[in-house]
Amino acid sequence: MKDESTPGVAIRLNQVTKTYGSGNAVVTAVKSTTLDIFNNEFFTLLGPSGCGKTTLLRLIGGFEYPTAGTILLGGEDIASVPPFQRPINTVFQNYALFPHMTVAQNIGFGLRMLKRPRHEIAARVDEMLKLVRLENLSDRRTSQISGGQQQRVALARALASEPKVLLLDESLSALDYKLRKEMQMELKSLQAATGITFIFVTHDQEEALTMSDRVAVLSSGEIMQVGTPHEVYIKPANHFVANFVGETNFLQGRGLNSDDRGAVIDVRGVGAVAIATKDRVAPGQLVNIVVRPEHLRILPLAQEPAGQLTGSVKAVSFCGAETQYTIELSRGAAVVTVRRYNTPEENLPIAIGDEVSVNFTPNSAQILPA
Amino acid sequence: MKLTATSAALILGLSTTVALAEGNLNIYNWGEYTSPELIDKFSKTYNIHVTQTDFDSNDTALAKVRQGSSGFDVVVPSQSFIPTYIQEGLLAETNPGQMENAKNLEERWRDPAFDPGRKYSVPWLWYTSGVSVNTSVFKGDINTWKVILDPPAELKGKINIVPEMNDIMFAAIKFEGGTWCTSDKALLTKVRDRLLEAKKSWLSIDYSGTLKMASGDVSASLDWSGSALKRRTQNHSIAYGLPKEGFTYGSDNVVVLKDAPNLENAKLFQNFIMAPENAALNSTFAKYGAAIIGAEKYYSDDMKGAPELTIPDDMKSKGELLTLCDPKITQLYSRIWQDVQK
Amino acid sequence: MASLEAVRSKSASRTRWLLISPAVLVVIIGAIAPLLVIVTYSFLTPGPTGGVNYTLSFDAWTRVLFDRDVFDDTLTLSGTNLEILLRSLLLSLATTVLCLLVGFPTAYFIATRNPLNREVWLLLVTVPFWTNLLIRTFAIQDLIRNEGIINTLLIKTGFISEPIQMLFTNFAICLGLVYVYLPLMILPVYASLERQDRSLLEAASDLYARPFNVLREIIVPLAKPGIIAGSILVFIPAIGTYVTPILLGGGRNLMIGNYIEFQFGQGRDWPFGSALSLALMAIVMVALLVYIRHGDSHGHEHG
Repeated sequence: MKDESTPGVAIRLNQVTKTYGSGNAVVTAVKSTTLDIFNNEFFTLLGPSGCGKTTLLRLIGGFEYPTAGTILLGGEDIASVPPFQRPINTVFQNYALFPHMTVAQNIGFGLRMLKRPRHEIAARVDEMLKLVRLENLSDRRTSQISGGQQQRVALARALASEPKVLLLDESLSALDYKLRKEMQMELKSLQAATGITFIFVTHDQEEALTMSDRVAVLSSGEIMQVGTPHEVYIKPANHFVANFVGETNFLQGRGLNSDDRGAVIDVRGVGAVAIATKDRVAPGQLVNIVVRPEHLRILPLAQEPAGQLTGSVKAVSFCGAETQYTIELSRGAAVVTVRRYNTPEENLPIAIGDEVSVNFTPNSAQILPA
Repeated sequence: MKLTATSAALILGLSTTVALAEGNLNIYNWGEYTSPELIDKFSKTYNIHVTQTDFDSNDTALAKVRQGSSGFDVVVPSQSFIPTYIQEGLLAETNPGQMENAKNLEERWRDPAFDPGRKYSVPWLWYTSGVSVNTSVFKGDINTWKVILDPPAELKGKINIVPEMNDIMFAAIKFEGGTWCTSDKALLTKVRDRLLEAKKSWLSIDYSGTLKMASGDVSASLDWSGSALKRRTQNHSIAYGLPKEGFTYGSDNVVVLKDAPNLENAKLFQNFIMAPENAALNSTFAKYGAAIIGAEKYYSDDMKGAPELTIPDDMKSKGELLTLCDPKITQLYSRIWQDVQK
Repeated sequence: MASLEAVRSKSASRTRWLLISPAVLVVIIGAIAPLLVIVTYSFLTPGPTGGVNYTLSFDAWTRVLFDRDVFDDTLTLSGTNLEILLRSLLLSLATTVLCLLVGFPTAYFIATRNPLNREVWLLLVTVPFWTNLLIRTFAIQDLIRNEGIINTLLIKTGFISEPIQMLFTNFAICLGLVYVYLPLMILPVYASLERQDRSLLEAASDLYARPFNVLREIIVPLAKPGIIAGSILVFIPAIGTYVTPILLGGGRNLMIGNYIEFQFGQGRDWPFGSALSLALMAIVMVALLVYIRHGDSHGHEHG
């Protein structure tokens, strides 16, 4: 690494822009993005399809060159360096295993291209096979192994030459649910074991939250928020992040008054609701109150005096550990989703058509500008 | 029902064709060898519709006729093939020697060995084989096979040989002093060595090689009389030599097939082309001589008195009809010719 | 039950035979029957004016390999036949290799255009096929003859003072064959390249393969089925070619196709011609088997 590099930073994107086409037909895939990714970090680019996350990954991998901006790797601008000269390897979405080579030949390919001595390659391939637990499949063709095994070969192949950064492009999306869960754990522990910076692209917010040290949420080629999964979930920076990461209820209202400890919002059709927040809300300002489904509590209306919100149950769905209720608030305020753990204590019978009260504590909600 | 209707239509269609076939004549001849004016005149004179089909070699024509039901009325094979046609019973005995116009036949062609008494065939055109030479390139004696078999320095690398095995073998055998269809091994050894040596001076062995004489790519070629005449009209330096060692003359002949659908029309055609003014139309078109007395005065101007079409008196004894040899001999000659072409 | 099933399977198999009978008929009429005729002919003696005499003889087959000396009747290995065969093999091999060298980059170029332009390029590749083979061959003749376009240009620009003899050489034959058969190489190679997953190339590049190594390690091995198909499509018609050696080679150096044609024409030796063509078939078949097996053992197993 060079001296001028910022300690701890593996990849630094500086004002990176990528556009396609020319004249009137210019499409901007990535808009002037600046981002630091740290050493030994599991970093995730999260967003819906077409948000620019894959383009960003391809820019880092060298498969595309930025229209403007710099990409620093260890302090050195690699924006125009071809992929075969970047110490960055990729696990492709479809794995892109070479069909005319065996598992071992696939894993050893990068080292062979780097002209490493034969015995060194053999030893490293063995090591990688052990790491991904495929020792007995080394001579198989890639078409003769399962999807999960192919995934591991792709990983082993990308890791064999000990890259500074590993890129993973929607790498788990082709696997079934159970295998995906398994691979998530495996990836996480591989990352810890190798100490290599992983940059992971996914549209699956749950996957992103589970695996990442930090997450960047993207929309329309721009970064909406960068933070730990906790930050992104609990304190979404804007409406898009709140909506895209996890499930959320929005209650629209106008500010009544606010001070250092909180604000009072006039929710349409409900009345004044107090929220604990440090943000000031101007009187009359249109805002959204954001509450996660698991932070709402419901009780049968008959047994408890009416709370702040009331409504009627429209749907109930049992999800194993929890039950999800869809409730239409009175006077058409909103339709909200409520999630309740199926513990014996909470096991009050609530059925479709029941009138319920809906409560949340002031500090479990958040206010975002509408 | 539908099927019956179709078959009825088919039968109707067939009978229509048959009906039309009266007043037809189907000619099977070499390509570019039939005067359109001649055909036009024949059609108008007898109100007969003429259909022409081309072949490119005697062997192709013979093979097709052998299969039977070719639908052709007349074929125009080279004389060397006529005995085969006769022996295999492929021809109708039309006795053209007794036809009205047979009186016009030149003496030499009146009673040829390949068709004694002219029982089957009528001459179409006749030719000699010799050498065409560009006299601006080579000024020496051209009345010899030496020009192509032991060529002077000026002609080396500018010689074309027409790939007719019999013609080239005839030339080489005569040049070495032998007789045609010989199986004399000592002589054939010399023939082979001569050809192998000569091949080093040959540019090509190609039918279209003579066409390249006008442009100067080729300066000497094994050639036929009519072809040589055509070359001379394109390039006046080109002259035709009849080799004194011996040359062949031959003719292509109109024969009528035994299974000819229009036998009477075919006979009319045989008689028709023996008329001098009609034979001359053919000659003028193909530039070969007609074997018909009095045809010459109807020739086009460029052909009248053309040296290519005249055999000088002192050369007359040197010419002979080219015949087919025995299969064993042909096999032998093939071997030698292949050694040359390999 | 069992017997019912047997009846059913019997009728099913009958239906199956009925359904494939047109195909079987075509194969018998189109391929097997003519072949049988040729095999029969090869064991007969030549007729006096072409055709065959129905007397059994192994003479034709003996003469494929051996020459009965014209002059002393001793049998020797046939120099003529072997030389002609060797020339045919070498010329058609050279043609195949040249077609590959020219065709592969062309196919790659087309396969990497955008899909709309690809169709235009492919159409252009097939344009020569719209014209008769003879006309195309004559066109080449006109290009390379001594007073032809190339020599005239070279002389006018002062590169040479005497025309280069290109027509009537082995070079001319090769040029003609490559020109005629190039599309047969381009199309299958294109088909195999066009199917290739672009991400494999990116993966190779990602794993430190320079562009040349991407070509050598990924593109070429994966295009192997196309290369094999193209080579076969070029090699087989090239070795049997007939028109090109006459028109461009000047008929001085014959290939096996002309040699066979001669036996059925002027040579009047159909049995020998039959034996020669069967021998050629056998050689091509063996060559293909070796080639395909060799290609398989090194190639991959997916299409």
